[in-house]
Amino acid sequence: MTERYVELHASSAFSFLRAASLPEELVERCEELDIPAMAILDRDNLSAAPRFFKAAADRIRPHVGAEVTGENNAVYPLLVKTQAGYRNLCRLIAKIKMRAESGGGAATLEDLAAHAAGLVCLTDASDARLVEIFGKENVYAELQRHYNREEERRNQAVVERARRFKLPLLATNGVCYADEDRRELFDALTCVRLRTTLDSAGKLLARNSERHLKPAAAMCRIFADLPEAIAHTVELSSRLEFTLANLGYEFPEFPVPEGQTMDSYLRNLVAEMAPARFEDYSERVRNQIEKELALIEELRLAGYFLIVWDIVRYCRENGILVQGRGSAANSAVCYALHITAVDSVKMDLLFERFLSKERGEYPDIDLDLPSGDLREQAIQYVYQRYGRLGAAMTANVITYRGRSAARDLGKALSFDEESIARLSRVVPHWGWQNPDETVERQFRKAGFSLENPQVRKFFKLYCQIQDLPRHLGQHSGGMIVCRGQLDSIVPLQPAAMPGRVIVQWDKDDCADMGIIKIDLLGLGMMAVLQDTQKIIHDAHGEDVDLAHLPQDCPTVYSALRRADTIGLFQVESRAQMAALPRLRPEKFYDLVVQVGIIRPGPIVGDMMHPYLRRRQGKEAPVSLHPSLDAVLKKTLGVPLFQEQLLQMAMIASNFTGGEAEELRRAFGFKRSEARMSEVEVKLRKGMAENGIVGDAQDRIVQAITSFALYGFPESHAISFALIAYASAWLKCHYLAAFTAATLNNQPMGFYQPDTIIKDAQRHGLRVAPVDVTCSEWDCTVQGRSELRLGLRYVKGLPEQAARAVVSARPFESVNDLRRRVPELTQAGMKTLARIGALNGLKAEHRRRALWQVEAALRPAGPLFATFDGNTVESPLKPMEIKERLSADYSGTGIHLGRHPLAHCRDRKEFRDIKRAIDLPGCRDGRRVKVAGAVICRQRPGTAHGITFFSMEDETGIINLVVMPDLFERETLLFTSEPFLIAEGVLQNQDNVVSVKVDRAEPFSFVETGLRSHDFS
Amino acid sequence: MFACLYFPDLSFNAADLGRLANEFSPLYEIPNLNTILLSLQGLERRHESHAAGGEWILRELQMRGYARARVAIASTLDVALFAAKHRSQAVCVVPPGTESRFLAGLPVACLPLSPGMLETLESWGIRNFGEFAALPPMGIAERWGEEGYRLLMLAQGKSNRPLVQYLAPATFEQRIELEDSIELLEPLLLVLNQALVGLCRGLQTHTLATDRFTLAFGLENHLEDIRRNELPVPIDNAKTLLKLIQLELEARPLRAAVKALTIRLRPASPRHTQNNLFLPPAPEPQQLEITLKKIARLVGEDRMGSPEPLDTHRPDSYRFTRFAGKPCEPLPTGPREMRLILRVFRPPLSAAVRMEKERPLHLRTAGIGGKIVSFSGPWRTSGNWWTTSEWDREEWDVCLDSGGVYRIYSERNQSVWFVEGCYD
Repeated sequence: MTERYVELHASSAFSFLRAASLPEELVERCEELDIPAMAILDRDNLSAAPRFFKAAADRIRPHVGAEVTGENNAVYPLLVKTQAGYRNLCRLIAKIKMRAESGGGAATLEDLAAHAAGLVCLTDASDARLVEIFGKENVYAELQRHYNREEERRNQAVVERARRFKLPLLATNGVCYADEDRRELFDALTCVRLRTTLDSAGKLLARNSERHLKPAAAMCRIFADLPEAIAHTVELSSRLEFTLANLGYEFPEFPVPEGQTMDSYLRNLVAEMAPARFEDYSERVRNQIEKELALIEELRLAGYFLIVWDIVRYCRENGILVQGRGSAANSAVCYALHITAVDSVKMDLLFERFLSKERGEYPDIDLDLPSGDLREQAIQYVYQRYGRLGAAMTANVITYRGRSAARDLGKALSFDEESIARLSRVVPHWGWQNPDETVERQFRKAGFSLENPQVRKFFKLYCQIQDLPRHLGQHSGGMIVCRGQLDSIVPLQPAAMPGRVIVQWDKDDCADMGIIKIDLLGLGMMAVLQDTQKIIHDAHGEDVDLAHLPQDCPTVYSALRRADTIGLFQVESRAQMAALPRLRPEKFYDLVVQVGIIRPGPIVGDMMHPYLRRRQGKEAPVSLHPSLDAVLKKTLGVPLFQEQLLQMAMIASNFTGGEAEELRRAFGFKRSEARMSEVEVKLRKGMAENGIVGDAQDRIVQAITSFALYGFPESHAISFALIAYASAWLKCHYLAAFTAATLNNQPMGFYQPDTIIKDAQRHGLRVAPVDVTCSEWDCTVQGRSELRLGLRYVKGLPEQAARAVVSARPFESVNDLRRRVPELTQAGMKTLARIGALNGLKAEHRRRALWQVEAALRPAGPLFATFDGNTVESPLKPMEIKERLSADYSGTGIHLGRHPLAHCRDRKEFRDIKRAIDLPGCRDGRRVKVAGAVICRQRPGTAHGITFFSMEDETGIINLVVMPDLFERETLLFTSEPFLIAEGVLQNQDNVVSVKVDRAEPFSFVETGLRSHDFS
Repeated sequence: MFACLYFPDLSFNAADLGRLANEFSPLYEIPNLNTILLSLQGLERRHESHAAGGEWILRELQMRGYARARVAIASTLDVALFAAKHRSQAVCVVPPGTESRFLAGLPVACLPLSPGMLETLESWGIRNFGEFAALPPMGIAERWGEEGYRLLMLAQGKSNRPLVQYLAPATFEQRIELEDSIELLEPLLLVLNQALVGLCRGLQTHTLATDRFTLAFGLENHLEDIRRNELPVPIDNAKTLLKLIQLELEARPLRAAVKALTIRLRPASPRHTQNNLFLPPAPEPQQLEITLKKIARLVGEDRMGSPEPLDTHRPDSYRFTRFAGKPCEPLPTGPREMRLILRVFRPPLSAAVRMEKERPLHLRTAGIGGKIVSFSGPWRTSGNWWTTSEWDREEWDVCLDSGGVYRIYSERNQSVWFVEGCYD
């Protein structure tokens, strides 16, 4: 007879540092060993379940279960038998996790009793009460044999007790890794978990390497004396009928007035709101709405739309700016309900990109909210509306990557701090990576020889640990809600942030399991827009309605054409600035294209340059095929958006909307060869039927397939363009308010506050320094063209102390300030004096303030508390300009005076150096020398190693282009020097000016401590 | 007037520095281990000017090999110190009345300021002594109190502190140059005894004992033999020390006759503890030390002590720790599990084992051999995979037809077998 065995007690890496193989690896090994089924029992979590289920597919039967921590260090391995059992397990884990806010917690026997139905418990038969709790037929005496004497002694006791209680024996191997080779990583993870090193872990490490998946023959040999223990694994496996296929998730119903259904309520709402919402409530609009509502009814999604509408309604009623983004903007119903701000009918957007019958999955609606407290308010509303156990954020599984892996493994192997730091630096943390750069080469570059056995071990573990889960974090905004109790669908646990609850699955897992997610995303610019509105209202008594801003404002488009876009949403990056003077936007749709064009898709798909050439009239706007003219007309014959791709497939190959969306997904990120070739055949067949053959067919297929990977949705671009336009309009018309709001919402965007202020100053804004007599915590406006820096910019000054200063005003002297605001620390007082914030307290200049602060800080008894203690006038000279500059940068990161570069111009080495303002006047191809403070470094993945720098001088921004060979030669110079003098050939094409650098050197002026924004 | 003798890049011990200072004046201070402050009282009359006196001191120092030494002479100790340390001239004389002017250019970092004060002065734009000295004394006193005032006086060259005479610490060391070399232990012990009695008396006078003795023997073959011994408890008894030295020399005799010897005792606070009335009496520490020395002489230092199992899965891993002489913990009472006791063979016996179908069948080794009638195993352990001392071992417990039960093992994937021990 063939030997049969099922592994019913395995742990995956989702046990977080307690096991060393991913669910996919375990499945693959099971298949190799011909193990027909397996159960993953991670410790107090079900995070692996969706991935295990997906990986198992039709390869093995995936049983669900978990090891649940009990009191007194007991651990109960529980297997799910039925759907009720699954719900009970979820609730049990959620209960203990929620009970212990810190993430620990233990189940009591009462907890087990309350959630025992549908579960099978594995035990060492030492506690007879488990039989009462789970029922005799659901308790198995578990035996594991890892060639260990002590374990065998325990096994004998288990067998003896099992026979006494008449419990069936069950053999398992307590698997912690797929194959023997992973034992070393398992030991290393144990050290990371217990914060120790391999040298000092001693008996905390594994005794041997036997906790790997073993084939039936090996397990039968090990349990040759107890064959029933093996036979029971197969029998129990056949009783475990539950899989995640019958999860039982249902989206919550939305409460509707009596006599209404959700469908009718949604229909009524849309009918009520649409006429006022649509500029032109035409027949076409009504038809589109009807079509969408019919599909929503058919797919039973009315509840989902109502719930999102409810959140948006709450935000609107509570003055929280909200805007739906993503593919939802393709929907007229979403527009009617105020979920999105894009009139999809007017913009001619494709609804199928959002929702289609064929897709068989829920639509994705993302809501952009102002980052910070207002977004938190919206999130808390959802919790409150659906209960703490009815709504939760999705998790974000934090996995091991280069640096974290190097650090943790280095520590486990007792590497010294310096070596760990060197190893961590081996892995580039930003930007493009050379494809020839193997991990091995990186190690050699850092001075580690793989001949060294310890380094070789490190290298092996480093490769193995990549992508293994490290811990569970919180996703930035994904929320899921559920009818009934969410904790019966997936275990919940408290997030690190107070008041937040997360599910144990990440957003992709939720999507794979068919759980609808609503993304409540925090967007810094939304907060800026909202704050700007408030500042304008408070300061000028004017109300700006973002929904009704003047369209096509010439001032806005003029600024955009000049690439005068620092601080604006989406169009402020170096690449956007380089494209703006070529694209020369003149109307809103140009801005939509501008937002959508600087993306990896159009760049990789070689769509950007053809479009720009056509835009400049250098090339005829011919589309790929005459039949596609209508679709591609608005983008001059070049496909730029995902919607166009879908429409191309619909026109050229007669695809339905749903089929076209399927095509996009087939060629998307999760592409599979089989699916792609299947879809391509269909695409070509359709085109052939329409007479599109030969070269034209190939070009269309090439455009569609390459573009599907990175293409940007038009609806998304429109949503972003709306925000970009609003930000540009506010900057052009309310510079002070917009700049104040931007400064109050840092960090965000591409530029440091100093650059934002320098830009605003160049636009005529006066910026007043921090002053304890009048500065608030936030930056404020003083009239239409003056801004006062807020106390938030004083480094090291806590908000509480700053607010105490504001509420205790006015002050008679420095000593008075010190006495009445005890929250101010010595360091805080000195910083305030150093940056000139105390000049208004009879100090006149910073040094005099520092002199007074030193006296005020001298401890005085209660008798002399009110004595000024400053009987001697300050003998100190005022600070010189360089000293003020240094004090400003170290104290606030901002200098309001002249740019540091302005002070260098009279130096000898600056004689031939051009300023940013001079460059547009220089001819293309001329050699130039420039200097500036590096404010931004970018090494995009699409630029094949070319690095782009933005440097700032007193007149503006200078763009540098550094080729890969020079960058490799001078890596340290280019990655760490704050000020550079660069020399090279000027490139001036279509008013886009940059310098292709061939020589560079650092120069020093004053320590500013400014950091550049480095990204890929 | 005072002189400061400064030796950049050198560091002395205080006693050597004291001896050097004594060659110029009995009144001296050692502020740190490369600086001497001297009072020139009495010395001034020997030279026509301070500069000449300074030149003379410098010459004397250079003759002693201190080529980079610097000498500064000033009316106050601190000005002399600043001048020697922060001016590069070999001889620098600060005439009385010019101190403030002389110091003005020195950076404020030369003053003994706390990091906070230095930061404050930097923020005030005060960079040198002159700028600091110009600040109003009352203003500084208001801010930094007495310490600030003292620093200001230092910067103005007006501090006038007295010289703090250096007093050498007591040492317990004796060197004996022998008229005739000693070959035998007994006469050597007589000499040692005499020296130890004197040194121990000295210790007792200072209410001290010693926790380490060092013996340096100058031998006839021109070599030196140094013996250093750490003591578990401080001892002030010459007789005990002599006995320990005797055992040491008996265990490791000297290789040649002794021409000279130095005994050095490191002073330590004596032990003031009383044995607990309610615990069984432990051996008297000093006697125990002598007994341990005797055992070590017989078996060797590395084969003596209390065995302690190591925290590892590696079989038979232990180390010796120093025998502390503490009474044993009482054995737990109550029912105890019956377990087989393994009598370990050290070193393990090399063996030949015949295997069949991955099971041991026959064992043969020195004096033991036979057919294996029953067994349990394999039992596997492995570890230290990240080091060169990796192990991966498979053990079996086997019962021979002759009746004995043995533990045998081999490294996995190797056919070399050992008998580790037998079960009682």
